[in-house]
Amino acid sequence: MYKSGSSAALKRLVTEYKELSLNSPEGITAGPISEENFFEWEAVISGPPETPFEGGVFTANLSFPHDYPLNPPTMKFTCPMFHPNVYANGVVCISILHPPGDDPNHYECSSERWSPVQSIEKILLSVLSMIADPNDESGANVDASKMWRDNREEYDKVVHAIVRRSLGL
Amino acid sequence: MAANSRRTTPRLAVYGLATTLLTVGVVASAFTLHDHFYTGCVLLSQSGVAMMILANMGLLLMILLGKLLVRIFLGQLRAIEVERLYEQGWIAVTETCLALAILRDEFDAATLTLFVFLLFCKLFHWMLADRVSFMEQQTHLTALFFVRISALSVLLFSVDCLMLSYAVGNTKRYGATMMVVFGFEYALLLARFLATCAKFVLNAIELVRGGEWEDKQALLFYVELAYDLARLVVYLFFFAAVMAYYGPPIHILRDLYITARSFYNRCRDWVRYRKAMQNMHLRYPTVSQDDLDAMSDTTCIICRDEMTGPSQEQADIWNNERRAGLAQNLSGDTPKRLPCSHVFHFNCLRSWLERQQSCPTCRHSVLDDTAPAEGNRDEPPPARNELPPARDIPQAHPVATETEQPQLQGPLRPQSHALPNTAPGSAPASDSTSGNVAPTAGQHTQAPTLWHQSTATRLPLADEQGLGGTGAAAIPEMPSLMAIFPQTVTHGPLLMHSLRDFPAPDLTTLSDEQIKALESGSRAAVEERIRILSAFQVQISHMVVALTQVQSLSTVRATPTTSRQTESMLPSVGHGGASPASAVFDNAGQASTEQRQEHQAKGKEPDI
Repeated sequence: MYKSGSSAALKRLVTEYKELSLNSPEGITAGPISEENFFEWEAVISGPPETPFEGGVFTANLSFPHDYPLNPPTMKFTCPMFHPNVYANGVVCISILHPPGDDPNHYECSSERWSPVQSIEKILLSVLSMIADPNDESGANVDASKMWRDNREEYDKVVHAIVRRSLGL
Repeated sequence: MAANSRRTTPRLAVYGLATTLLTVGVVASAFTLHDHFYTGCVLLSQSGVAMMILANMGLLLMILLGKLLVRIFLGQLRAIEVERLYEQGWIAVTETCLALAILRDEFDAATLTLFVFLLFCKLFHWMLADRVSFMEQQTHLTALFFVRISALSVLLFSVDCLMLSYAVGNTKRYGATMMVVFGFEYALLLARFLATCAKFVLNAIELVRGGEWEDKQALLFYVELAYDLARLVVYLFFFAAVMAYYGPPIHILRDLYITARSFYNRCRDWVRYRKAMQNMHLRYPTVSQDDLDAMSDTTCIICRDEMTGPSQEQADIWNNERRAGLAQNLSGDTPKRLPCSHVFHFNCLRSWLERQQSCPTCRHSVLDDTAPAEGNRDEPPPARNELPPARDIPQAHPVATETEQPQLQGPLRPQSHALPNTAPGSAPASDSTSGNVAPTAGQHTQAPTLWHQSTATRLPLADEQGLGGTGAAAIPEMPSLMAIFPQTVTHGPLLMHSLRDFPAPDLTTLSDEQIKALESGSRAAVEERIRILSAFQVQISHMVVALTQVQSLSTVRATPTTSRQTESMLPSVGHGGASPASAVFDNAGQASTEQRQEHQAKGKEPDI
C-alpha cells in the first residue's frame, strides 16, 4: 500500500476541520470519515426548511485531491437523491466544484469556478442553497430537471419519498 | 453503476446467445450440405448472409475479449469512465464512417476489420489515460494498480508499434493505400500513449515522494505541450497525405481543429505562465510584518495559515533589491503582494500561479498590471513599503504612534477595515480626531498615488477621518458605534456627508462656447476633459470606499462566512468597477446599498 498526501493539503484540511467543528453553520456537519485519512470526508446536510427537502437528512462523501486547496474536492451523495443538479449516481454538479480555468464548454465563466478562497464550509453552504434553489439551466439529472420545470407537484412527491427514505422510514 | 452493469449484462447475454446460435446454425448447415471441409468453407465465404453472421460473431468475440482485458488490467470501470468511453466512442464511430466514405474505393472486409480493431485500441488508450489522470486524485494506490497499468502500457505499446510498422511496411511495398490512414492513426495513438506514460511516471514519482513535488505541474505542462505539438505535426502530415491521395479528409477535420486550438491555448498559457512565474521574487513586493499587522486578516487564503513577514527594514531592503532586479533567496513563507493588493505566502502563490495566472481571491489577472487605472491603484501599498523615506513619516508606522493612521489606511487599503488591533484602543481616540481637518504631511505623500494630481490635494480630509473612523469601528458591536461616533451618525447619511464635501464638477454651468472648446482636439481641451473625468473617478472611488466601509460595518453582525466572503470581495469593490470582477462589485454595491439604508435607519434613531 503506497501512502501519500501533500502535507500542505493535510494542514489546510486539519485547519478547516477545526474551524468547522468549532462553529459549523446550521444544517451542516462534516468531518473526516476516519482520523487516518483526512482526504475522505463525510458530510451530513439537513434539508433546508420551506423546501420539499425539509426534514430530510442527507449524507454525502467529499473526497479531496492531494493538491487540495488548488483543486476542488468532489462531492457525492451516499443516500438516494433526486435533484436537477445531482447526477443519478449522487455526484454533485455545481460550478464551484469545477476545477479552475475556463470551462471547455463555455457554460460558466472562470470566476464561478473553484479557487482556494472557497472552503469546505462554502461548498456545503452552496450545496444547501443549491438544494433549495435548483439551477435547471445545466441539469445533471435531466429527469429531475424536466420534472422540476414542468411538473412541480410530481417533483415534490418524489422528493418527499426521498426525504422519508433518508430518515429510514 | 452497479445497476448499469446489471442492465447491460442480460442484453449482452441475449446478444451473445443469439449470435452464437446463428453462427453454429450457419456453420452446421454449410458442413452438412457439403461433405468436404473445403467446399463448406467456400460456401460460407460466398454467401453474404453467412459472412454477416460470422462477422457478427467476430464482433461478439471482440467485445468479450475487451471485457476480459478490462477485467484483467483495469478492474471495475468507474461510472464516469464508462460515460466518457461512450461519448468518445460515438465520436470515433462517426469519424470512422466519414473515413470509410473517403476510402470507399478500397472498402472491403479487411478495411472494416482494421477500423474495428483501431477503435478497439483507441478504447483502451482512453481507458488508460483516464486511469492515469485518476491517479492524481488518489491518495492510496495499491501495488496491483501499478502492475496492471504497467502491463496494459506494455501491451498497448507493442500493439501500436506493431501496427505502425506494419502500416509503414505495407506502404513501402505497395505504395499509398488506405494503410496510410491507419499508419497515421496508430502514430497518433502512439503519441497519446507516450504522453499518458509520461504522466503515469510523473504521478508515480509524486506518489513515491509523498505527494510533494513542486516541479511536477511544470513538467506535466511540458508533456502536454509536447503531446499537442506532436499531434499537430502528425495531423498536418496526415492531412496532406490524405489530401494528396484521396481528397479532403473530412474525418480528421474536427480533430485537427481541436488539436490546433488546444496547441494555441497551451502556447498562450505557457507564455502567461512564464510571464507570471519569471522572477516571481522580483515581480511582487514583499510585505513587512508592520503591514501585515495593519491588515484585518493575516491568514494566507491558500493554506489558511497565519503569515508572518520580515521587519519593515528587512522588507525595504528586499524590495529595493527587488526593484534593482537583484536575485533573492527568500523563504517559501515570505508574504508577497499581488498587483491587486492581496497577500499570500510565496510558495502558496507559486503553486497557484502554476495553475492559474490570476489572483485566487479576486481573480484579477496577475499579468495585466499595465492598465493605467490598475497601475494607479496598485501603487499605494508598494509605495508605502518600498520607499525608505516613507518610513520617516509617521504614516508608515501604523501601530507605532498616532492612532489616526490605521484609520486612514482604512479607505486606502481595503483589507484593513476590520482591523482587530486598532479597534479597541484607537476607537475612542478617533472620536476626538474625527473633527481634525488639518492634513498631516504623511497624508500628502500617500494620497497622490491614489488620486490624480490636482484633485488629490483637494481631497477633503474630514471625510478621510470620518470614513477611516467608521472603518476602525467595524469590530465592536453595532450599538457602541453610535456612542463612538455621535458626530458621523447624527450627521445623517454617511455617504451624503462625504459627497457634499467633494462635489462633482458641475457641467451645466458651462457655456456653449466652453463646451465646444472642450470638444476640440487641442491639448488643453483634452487635458481639461481628463481632469473632469478624473474628478469623476475620484468621486466614484470615494463612493466605493464609503460603500465598502458601510458594508464592513454591517458584516459585524453577519455570520463568519458572509464576513469572509465580503472580505474577499472587498478588493474588487475598493478598486472600482474597472476590475474584471465587476459583477461582484455590482452585487456588493447593491448589498451595501441595502445595508446602508438599514444603517441610516439605525443612525437616525437617536434624532427621534
